[in-house]
Amino acid sequence: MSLVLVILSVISAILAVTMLFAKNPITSALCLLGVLIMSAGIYGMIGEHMIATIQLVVYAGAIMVLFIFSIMLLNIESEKADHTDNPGIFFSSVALGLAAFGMFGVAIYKHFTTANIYRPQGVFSSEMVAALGGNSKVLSHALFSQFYVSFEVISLALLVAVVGAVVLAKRKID
Amino acid sequence: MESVYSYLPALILISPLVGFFINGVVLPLKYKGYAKTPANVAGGVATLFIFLSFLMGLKVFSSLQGMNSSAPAIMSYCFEWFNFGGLNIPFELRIDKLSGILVLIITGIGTLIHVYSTSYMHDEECVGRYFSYLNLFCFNMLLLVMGNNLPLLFFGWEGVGLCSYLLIGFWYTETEKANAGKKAFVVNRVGDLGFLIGMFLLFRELGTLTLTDINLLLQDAQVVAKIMPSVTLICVSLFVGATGKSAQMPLYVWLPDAMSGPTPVSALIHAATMVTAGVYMIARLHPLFSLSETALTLVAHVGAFTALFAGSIAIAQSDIKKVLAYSTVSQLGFMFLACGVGAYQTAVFHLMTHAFFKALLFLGSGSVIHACSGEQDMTKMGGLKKYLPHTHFTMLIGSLAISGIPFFSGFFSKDEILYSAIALPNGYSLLFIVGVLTAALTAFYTGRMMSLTFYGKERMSHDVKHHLHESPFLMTFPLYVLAALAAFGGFLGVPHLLGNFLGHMPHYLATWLDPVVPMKELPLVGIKLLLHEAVVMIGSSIIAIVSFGLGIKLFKSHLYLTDMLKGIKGFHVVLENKYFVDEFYDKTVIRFVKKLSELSAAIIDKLVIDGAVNGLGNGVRKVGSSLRILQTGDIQTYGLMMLFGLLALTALILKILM
Amino acid sequence: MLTNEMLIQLLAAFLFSVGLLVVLLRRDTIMVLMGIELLLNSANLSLVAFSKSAMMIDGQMQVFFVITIAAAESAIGLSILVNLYRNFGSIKTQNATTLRG
Repeated sequence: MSLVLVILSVISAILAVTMLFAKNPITSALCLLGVLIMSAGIYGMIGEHMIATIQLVVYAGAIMVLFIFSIMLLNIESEKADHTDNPGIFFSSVALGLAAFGMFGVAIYKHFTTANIYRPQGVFSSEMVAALGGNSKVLSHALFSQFYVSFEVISLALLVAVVGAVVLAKRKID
Repeated sequence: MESVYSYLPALILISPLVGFFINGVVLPLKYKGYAKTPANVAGGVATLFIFLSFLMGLKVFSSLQGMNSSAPAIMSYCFEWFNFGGLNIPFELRIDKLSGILVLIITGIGTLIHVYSTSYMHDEECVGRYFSYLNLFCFNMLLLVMGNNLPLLFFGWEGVGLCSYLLIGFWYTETEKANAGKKAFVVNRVGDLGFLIGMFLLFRELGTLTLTDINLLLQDAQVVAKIMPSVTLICVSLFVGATGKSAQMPLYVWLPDAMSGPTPVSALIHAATMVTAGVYMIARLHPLFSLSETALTLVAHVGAFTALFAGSIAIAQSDIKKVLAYSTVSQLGFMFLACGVGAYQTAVFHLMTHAFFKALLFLGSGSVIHACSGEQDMTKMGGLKKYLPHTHFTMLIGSLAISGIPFFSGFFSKDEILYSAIALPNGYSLLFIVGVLTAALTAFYTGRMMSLTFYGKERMSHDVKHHLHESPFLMTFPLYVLAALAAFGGFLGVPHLLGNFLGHMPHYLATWLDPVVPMKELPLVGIKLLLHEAVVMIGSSIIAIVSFGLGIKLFKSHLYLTDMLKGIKGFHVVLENKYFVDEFYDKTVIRFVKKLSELSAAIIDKLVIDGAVNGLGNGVRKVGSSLRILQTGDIQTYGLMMLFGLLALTALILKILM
Repeated sequence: MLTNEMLIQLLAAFLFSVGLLVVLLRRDTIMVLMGIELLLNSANLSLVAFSKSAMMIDGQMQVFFVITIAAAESAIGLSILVNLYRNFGSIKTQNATTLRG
């Protein structure tokens, strides 16, 4: 139960709730950015250096920038409506959200405290990973040997996404 | 009982159906419409197929003669029609001695009538339709007589009813003729209900509907004991069906109206074949009918009464075809009288001879009508003897036959009926007296008909007289063939009394039919039998000759009976209006049915049925409208609902897994 | 006892719930897209943590691909957003109710 982890978690939680209630979309976007950076921090703390880097570069660096560009381009204004203009939807959504969190919490608790359940175990302990040359080396080696088919398919998916985005956003030339 | 399986019965049955199909579908397609099909082609095709059936029927008949057993049969199994529960009804045809005779009658007289029609209907429109219906009728009639089980018989029964409707209403553009066709069908249907009930009851008692099995089962004493309580009901129900089809009291009213159809139709359907279906059915099921004294008595009395009733109406009619129609009803009454006293063979014999002379008389009247350019009223004919020699000669033979003049065919069969009426244990004097009276009436009105048409003063209009011509060869040829049969056909059934004189000629028909349709044992034997028979024979001959002669002589100069006997004018009006039976039915039954149907349409149809159907539609629409509220179009609402469902599922799974 | 792994999992569950609420409650389409990103991120977090505690690398490889697909999906989402803006003039979700029954 390290202190760093507690601090990162608390800040992430506060930022997420702020994102939920912020009226200004830029505020929400920045809060989301904050959450993503905290997550990268948590990854780094665990020892997942590659994932942390990818998270910062792709998620925080590209996606959120894209979001902020869109907000600015479309000149989206702050939300004026109160959340309770349809109280039925509001309260049932909150209730369901809490129910979802409750279920997950119970499941997590049961997973970690029940004694004799199946927990899979692999070989990549921290010493092993360090011995093999570090997290990045292990992951990249796996990416290009064990998971290379998925890698190729992902590149194809990205191509499709690029083409799709261009086609969808194009202004129709009459 | 020996049965041989062969394709011939099926071929005999299929042949007119093929003709129906060609005339009904192929030729109109080729000539682009019924109206443009030439009459000769249509008639030729139809005649060809029915003639083929006749040839095959002859072949079957000779094979039956060649077979050794006493009750041989040639069967044809086509396919399995119904087989579920305890009900097994194969599509099976069976030609035995009885149906063999009927097949020959149907196809033989059918061929002659087809040939006649080709010339008679030459100038009509849509002749192709007419011939297709004729062939369809022959198919159904053959199915009726050849079917080996009651449902097949009923199929043919209904089919001939349908074809009679189609053919009577052939000129459907004229309302009266269309109504006549409708009347025939509806009245037939009323009778068919009785037939159906009888069939159901029979199945319930015996568990089978195959005719051979029924007759076999009824020889077993235990089965007979089981069936005895309901046998009268069964027989009476079946007989109700027969009254509808064979035009007995009270369902005979369609037959005189059916004269609206073309004359060859009347000849085929209402003289030779369809109306004899009831007699055939009773002859077929004679073991069943013999079990119920009440039913047989009913049959005999209804038959006798109808015979006298119809005969009395016929004296006062002025339309030549109506005279013949009532004559048919009367002769059918004779046949049922014979069945009722147990003389089934005699009924079949009279069926055969009646087919010959009645068809001859109808075709002859058709020839007369054709010559008189459509005139059917006898009061406007007269003295046609010198213009229509062939028609006159053949019709004279037919009249002599129907009147029972000795040595013509009608004499032998009618005489046998009269004798059975008094001699057999079931008959008694009242039936005999009615029979003799009717025979006298028959001769009388037939003589009247001949006299009014062919002898005496010429009462035709000037135009008609100009166009008088003898009928062409295709019409006179069948007349002559039928005349030969009517004259000499009786010699198939010469009774022993006369047979002894004519070189020991046996009663061919009796020896042929004995194993299949028996004759009750005559109580008297030896010399007493011969004396009784001789008395009846001589008596009936005298009565016939006198009545016929009286009919001819009296009506050479008068038109109606009232001209001579002024006193019976009122009664004559009643006779001429057929005892007002149609009006009576109209006021009682038909009015009630009409009211019922109006009520049904207004309340049951409009309120109940439409209400239910529309109500169902409205209900569905209301449910749909109320469910519509869920579709807001807002994705976040949808997301919420999805989340709810997802969480519920997850909770369920977690509960199960934990 | 609240261990590290358990805390990370609880955090992931919490972020997931908040993401759900963002998707359901916010009325701008772009906020919905951001909520979807939050959902994906929380799933990644959970995956990585479990993968590390089980000492396998499969979870981490999957996270790699999930991030890639999230990027592609957000690009497409933003294109749709631009189209939506062009057709309706604003990006409020109340506009897109033409499928209303």
